[in-house]
This record gives sequence, structure tokens and C-alpha cells, in this order.
Amino acid sequence: MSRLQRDREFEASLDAVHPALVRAARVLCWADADVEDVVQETLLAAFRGRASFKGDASPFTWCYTILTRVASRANRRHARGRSMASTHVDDDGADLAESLDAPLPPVDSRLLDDETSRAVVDAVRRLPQRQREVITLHFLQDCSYAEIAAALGISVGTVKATVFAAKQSLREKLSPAAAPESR
Amino acid sequence: MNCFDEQDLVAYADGELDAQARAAVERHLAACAACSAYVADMRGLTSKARASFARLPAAERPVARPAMGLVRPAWPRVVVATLAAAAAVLLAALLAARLMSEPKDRRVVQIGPTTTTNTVASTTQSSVSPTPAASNDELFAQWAAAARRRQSPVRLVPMDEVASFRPPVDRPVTANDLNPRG
Repeated sequence: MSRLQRDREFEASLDAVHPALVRAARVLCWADADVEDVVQETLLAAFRGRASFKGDASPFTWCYTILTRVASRANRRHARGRSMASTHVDDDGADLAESLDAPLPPVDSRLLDDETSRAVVDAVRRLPQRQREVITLHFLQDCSYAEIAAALGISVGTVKATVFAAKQSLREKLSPAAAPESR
Repeated sequence: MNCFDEQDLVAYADGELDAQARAAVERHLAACAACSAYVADMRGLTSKARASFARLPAAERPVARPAMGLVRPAWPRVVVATLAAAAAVLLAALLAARLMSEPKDRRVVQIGPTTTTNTVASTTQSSVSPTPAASNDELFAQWAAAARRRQSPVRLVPMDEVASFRPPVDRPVTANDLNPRG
């Protein structure tokens, strides 16, 4: 297979994961206006780095890894704006790190007309950054803990603990009656 | 309050436990309604979340795909290949025509103006047979010039000597010229 044919096959695989990447970006990005740029930058970075794709992960999880970094960079710009407007006199680095874990604003109501779906996505967007990234991949692609661990470069044990913490938080947010004391 | 490890219960709901751990959870759930309800809650949460994510639009409007940089010829490959072949043939023909137009007996770098002798020699090299109207003297002069050219040594003038190069002076025709060694 010639190099051009391999490149075209890889480009076709990126086309196949494009819709899922857009959905992921809608959950991970601070502003919906950033989604298009973040996805484009992700696809471009994925294609340019195609030599490092060994086929041991699915094309989507490989691209998702890139997407989390690109979205994080885009979100930092918004976080810096909030940090500069803050009245805290703490170190800027601490403020910035804290801001990155800050809840994302609610998803645009025009994107999801179903109130239940909007409540779920909003609850995920309010999670800390790492929980948000892990649980989004878990919900979006039905990935196993091992696949999530490989994609995000963390241990399976960490994925298990993070998924638990995220689901526990979502359960409490979405079903206030199902509080821990009820068990 | 927790009668079983909640992390294991969530992992069990996600199908992530190995056979031994799964069996232990199932033995406990068979006897614990609260933990069974908790596992059912977590499974319901996961299903609802996946359905919600699936409802997110894949693209609010067509998202432009960035150019990946692959070379895509605008013309069909056959047309491109044909034009390339035609250009190669034309170039070869032009080169051949140029080579054929140069004098075949040109063996030295000509410094200075072209002499009458060289011009005559290049003319006669291609054909020895004289014109019917040429006189014997003219015929001899043509032959002698050709002979002198054949006896001229090949000398390549280095580039740094070009400026100071002086062509050898033509020697007079002798009797030996009548018997060319060529």
C-alpha cells in the first residue's frame, strides 16, 4: 500500500470519528463557539501525528486524547480572563489551576431541547476537569476502564476511582433524593 | 453504612470486575436490597447519560474539515501522464536537433573569431565531393584545410587559461599534406 493510500485511509478514519469528536468537544469546551476550532485543530494534529498512531487504540480514543489537550488550552484562555478579574491576591498559577476545575457554564439550550438530557450534560460540565474528561469518554464511546486509562495515560485504578467519584457526584446532582444516607 | 465497597459496585455495574470479584458482588447483592438498588441506580444513570450524549448534535452547522495536505491532482492522472510524456519527447527532440546542428568535427574550443579555414572545413567535412564547377586550386585548398584539421591535436583549454589562450598559427601546406595519414 502506497503512502498516499495509507494517508487517505487514515483521513477516512478521522472522518468516521468526526461526529463523536464534535459531541465530546461540546461537553469539554467552555464555549460552544470554540467547538469548531477545537475539533479542527484536533483533526489536524491527529493527521500530522499519524506516524505515531500504532493501531493499538481505536482512532477515536487516540483523537480524544488530543482533543482533551486542545480543549484544555482553549479553556485556559477563558480561565485566565476570570483569574485576572478575580480579587484574590494569591499566586496566579494557583488561581488558574483552580479555575480550570471550575464548573463549565450550562450547555446552550438550542443544542439540546430535551430538559433531562440538558440536565445530564450540564451536570457533567460542572465536574472537575479530570472527572469530566474520564466520564465523557466513558459515556460517549462505552470505553472500558483499560481503554480510558490508555487514552488518558493514567492507571486503571485511577480510572476506576475517577469514574466512581464522577458517577457519585452525578447521582447526587441529578437525584437529590438518592443521598448517601439513604443507603 | 456501606455494606460493600461502592467502587466495586460501580465497577460491577460497568462490567469491569474480574470473575472472582464479580462472583463476590453477586453473592452480596443476592442478600442486600440496598446495594442492589444502588447498582440499579448506577446502571440507569449510565444509560441516561449515554442517551443524552447521543442527542448532542454532531455539528450545529457543517464543520469545515481542514485540508490535510494530501496532493490531489486536479486533472485525471492519464491526462497528466500524457502531458508529461509529450513534454519529455519534445525536450528530447529539441536537444537532439541542437546536437545535430553542431559541427561534428568540432574538437577544440574556438577562441576568437571563426576563421575562414574552420568555416570551410566544417562545410567540407560532411561531403568531400567537390562541386563540378570548382577549380583544382580550390579543391586542393579545401582538402588541405581538412587535412590540417585532422592533424590538429585535441587540446582542451582550462578555464583559467582562456583569457590568455592564443590559437596556434596555421603552418603552410607541405608535400606530406598530399598524403594524409587520416
